[in-house]
Amino acid sequence: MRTQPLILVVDDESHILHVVSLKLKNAGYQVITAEDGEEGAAAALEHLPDMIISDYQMPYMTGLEMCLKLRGEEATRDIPAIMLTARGFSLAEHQLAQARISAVVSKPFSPREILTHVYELLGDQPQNGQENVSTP
Amino acid sequence: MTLAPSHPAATDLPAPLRERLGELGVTLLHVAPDGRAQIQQNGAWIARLLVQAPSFRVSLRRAWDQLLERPDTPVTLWPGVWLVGLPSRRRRRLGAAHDRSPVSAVLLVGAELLESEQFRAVCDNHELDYRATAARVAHDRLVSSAEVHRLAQMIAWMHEDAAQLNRHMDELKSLSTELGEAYEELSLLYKLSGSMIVNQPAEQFLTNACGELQQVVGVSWMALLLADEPRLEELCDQLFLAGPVAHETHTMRAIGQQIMECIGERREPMVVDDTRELAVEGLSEIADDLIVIPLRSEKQRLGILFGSNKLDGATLTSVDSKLCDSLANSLTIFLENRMLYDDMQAMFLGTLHALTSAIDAKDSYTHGHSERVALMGRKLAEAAGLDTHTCERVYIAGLVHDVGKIGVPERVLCKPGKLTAREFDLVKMHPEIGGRILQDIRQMEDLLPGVLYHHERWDGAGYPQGLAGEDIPLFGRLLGLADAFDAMSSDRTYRAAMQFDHVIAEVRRHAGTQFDPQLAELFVNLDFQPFFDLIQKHQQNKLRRPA
Repeated sequence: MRTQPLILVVDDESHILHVVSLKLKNAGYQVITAEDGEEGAAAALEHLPDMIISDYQMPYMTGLEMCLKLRGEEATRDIPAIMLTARGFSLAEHQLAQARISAVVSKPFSPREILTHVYELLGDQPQNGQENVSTP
Repeated sequence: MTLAPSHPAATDLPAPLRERLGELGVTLLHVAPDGRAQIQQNGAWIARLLVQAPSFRVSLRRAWDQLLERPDTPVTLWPGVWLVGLPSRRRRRLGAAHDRSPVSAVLLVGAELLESEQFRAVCDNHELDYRATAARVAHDRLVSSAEVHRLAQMIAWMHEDAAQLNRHMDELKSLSTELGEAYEELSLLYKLSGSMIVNQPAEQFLTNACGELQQVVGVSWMALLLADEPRLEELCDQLFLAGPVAHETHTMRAIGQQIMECIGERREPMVVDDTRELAVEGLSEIADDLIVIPLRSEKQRLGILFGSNKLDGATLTSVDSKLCDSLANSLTIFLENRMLYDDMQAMFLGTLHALTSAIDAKDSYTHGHSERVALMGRKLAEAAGLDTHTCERVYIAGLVHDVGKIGVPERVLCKPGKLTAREFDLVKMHPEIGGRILQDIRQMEDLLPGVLYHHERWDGAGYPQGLAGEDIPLFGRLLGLADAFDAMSSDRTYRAAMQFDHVIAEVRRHAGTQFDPQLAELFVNLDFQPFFDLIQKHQQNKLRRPA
């Protein structure tokens, strides 16, 4: 059984994976990562994360296609998802609704803003998070 | 017999290496310079016997320095007993003289031990039967002396690789942290530059900037105090605040002013760890530490950003001040642009006033006329519900509406008494002359209808085109009313000023013939006090002028 919520981060740019993972881990979440849509979909089906944060533009399968695929599977149908997009690029409303994307964040994003979305979607931060814990 | 439990002591060994050594089943020791050893993991029975034996301790003490030297070479302690030291790179470099804390080492035991005198002594010491003990130890995983060197080499490589991996992980973590901060900064600047439009209300922009910065830096409050600089106009000396603070705004402003005094001509951001060090009244009640970022243009101080108390309880660092500083640069540019924009506006209006004064000066009776028409035109436009920008344009159109009079001979403009038809024709040319003067100024294109059509009449009997009703552009109708009102209210070469009540009655009487009836109704209900104040000002100016 998981003690902390598990978040899957999918992006083909490793620096984004590192930055987002670190921010989430510091806030007390467990994180798994994948580097393209296919790998992301497989990881989601295997680990059934509590949330997915995915880039839109990726090789083999876009983040949107990955989410659509996961919406078709019983086990991953309701996992909340956040999509990262390039600045100035916008996804159509119906696409977002169909893939049930809860929030879209444009790059370069503020890691803090992503965390705010995560709190909103998963409830308060986990008990052992270091983000808002005072240090002596 | 009892054996002391093994204590996993603090170790500088990377966790993955410990795990692998565990899986290999080798015994890991923690060895102090005095020869005392603790088993960290995989304490085989023989290992426990050895570390408790005083003779083993003596041998370890003698060999301790060697453990720090060549990790890839096993140190032979006794026949069939080898140790592979695992000191960190730093320790190896600095040597035993520098650091005498316990060092991790792998204990390897071979069959030769069972034949040795030392083993017999250990058994005697523990009051154990030598043969039975040897038989039991023979079941443990023993290494052959031929393998020892290769094994030591492999363990040393594993140690080196794991340490390097650890360093890389640390480096990656610190780079990711730094990158995350850079993202934060970039996203903040993107957001602000997007909203940095000169004609958006500055208060809104500055309030937003304060709020964003408070959130990004993660402080309990962030304030922006602008300097007492007249060119900042309505922003001068204003305080913007984001986040809850126990003090009232005026107290915060006073605190800001004192901080501004404290930092003087400083240009760099400043982090104060303890606000009690600053002699600023009331500050320590709301702030333990403080970050201050001066906002400066090339020549002058424009204000300061100051905030305090990280929400996560951490202390303010240079990362925070760097973030604030890049935002401060944007704010400075915003304020400078605003001042330049205001300068330009002031210059433009000043030039227009000068131009209209020049026109009005041609005829002493019409002194201040353009300014009054502009004033009442704007008031009427406001009453008609036009937006702020349009009202401002009506004002400017009012200032220049008679510019064409430059082209009308002075003897006609200033002629006392009635004009001849020929002279009146000359006067009637001034709207079109004005239109020609201004038509090439792109920024004044929208004002042209006010200049061209302020002498048109609602019934179509006006000039120059004889337009009627709503065919007359709105600017023309607005200024036509304001123009006629001012003409009736002031002395003219050909008659004295009418009484105010009489003028109002005339406006009412001509609504629907000379004037747009709806505008006339709005006009008579305007507040005329500013108009009378202006008349008084113009009369005083006139008296001061040399005869």
